[in-house]
Amino acid sequence: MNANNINSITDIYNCAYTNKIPISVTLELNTTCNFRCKHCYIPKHIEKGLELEKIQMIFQELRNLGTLNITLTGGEVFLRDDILSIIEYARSLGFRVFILSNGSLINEETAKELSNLYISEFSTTIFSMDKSINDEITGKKGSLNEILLGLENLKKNNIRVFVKCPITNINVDTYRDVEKYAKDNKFRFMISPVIFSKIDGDSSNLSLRIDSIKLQQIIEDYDRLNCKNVPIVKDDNVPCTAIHYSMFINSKGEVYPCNSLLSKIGTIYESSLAEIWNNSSELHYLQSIQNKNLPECKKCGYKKYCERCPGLALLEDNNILGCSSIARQNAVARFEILTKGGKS
Amino acid sequence: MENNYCLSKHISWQMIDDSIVIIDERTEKVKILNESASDFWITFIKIFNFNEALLALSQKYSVTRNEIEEDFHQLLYMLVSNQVLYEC
Repeated sequence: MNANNINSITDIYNCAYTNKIPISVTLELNTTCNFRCKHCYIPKHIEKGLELEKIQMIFQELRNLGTLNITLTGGEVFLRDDILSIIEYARSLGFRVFILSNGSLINEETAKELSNLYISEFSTTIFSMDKSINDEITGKKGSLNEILLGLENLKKNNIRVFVKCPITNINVDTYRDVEKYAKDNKFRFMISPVIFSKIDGDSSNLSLRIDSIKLQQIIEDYDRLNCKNVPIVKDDNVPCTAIHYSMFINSKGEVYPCNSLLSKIGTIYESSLAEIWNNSSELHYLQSIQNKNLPECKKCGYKKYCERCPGLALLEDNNILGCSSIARQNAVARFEILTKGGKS
Repeated sequence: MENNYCLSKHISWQMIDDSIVIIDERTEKVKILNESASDFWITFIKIFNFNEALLALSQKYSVTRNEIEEDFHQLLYMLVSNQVLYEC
């Protein structure tokens, strides 16, 4: 696809995919956080992140590389004193800015400033409308009230809000209340049935995963909400299209194809982002992987129902070409629902 | 329309595959500029002055100002009427 055919946001992604443009880059601004969510994939909340000047240089490089979307994530990004300066600088260059935050630090003034900066979307997480359940997962007393207040401020300022609800065995029976809250407030909403290991390989948080019977209900709702992880760009030949048009830079300046695929492709201290994007042999290898290179998937009876993520296959099953056990578990649940009505 | 212009705060943009893509963040509507309009944009976005942009482009294309003025006036009018740019 070329630019002449662009009519929508989706077309932009397709054009970026065709032309190998890193259209979406996620920048981890810090790992420090005021919450301690039980399922979080970050092992230690200690990194305060790159300095503003370095971030500005990264933004300038990304402009020249063709990046349009910048996603700012943490930790909790609003713990940084310079967060509004970072957003303002990104917007001044023409980037679309997406923010991932727990929302608890958004007061009226901050919401107004975000509105004036025309951010594209504010994504946050609510685990339950039951205070005790939400607080149990976030590890912070009063967290639900803080989040709701923050979202109220965003709503008043007409900022697009996206509420996500990762499903654990703690909140599995209450997430529909979060869905109702999001619907009532006209916020985009999705659930996620996948809790994944911490990025240092510690899998202790996987004890939060739901059992197989509950999983069927979740998968059913997940599909009902039309929030299957259907990639924005579809290509049946490759296991992941996103790594052809995205990058992730962590708070230490290490560069990865995405924050789920922790196969390092460079660091900002050793190479320019253009050099990494254009010359990284690791990235080129990852981008060269096709579905026909996945021996287990080729013969798997559940592949039609599977949303395998190469990053999770690598992180949890140590093989980027192999089966992702969590994706397979979800695929089996989906198969049971669609073919047998579930609860086998 | 000879004055200085500013980019509206609700606009995001990027050059993608040699064309300028403009997004209105209020509506998420996408506009694409053709090749010559993209060229104008790249020049204009650095100086935000119509006369100076015209001069720079006439030198770049080795043509007189009159030969390109009409087209770029129309483009500027389109950008202003779509609230991509405003006089400032």
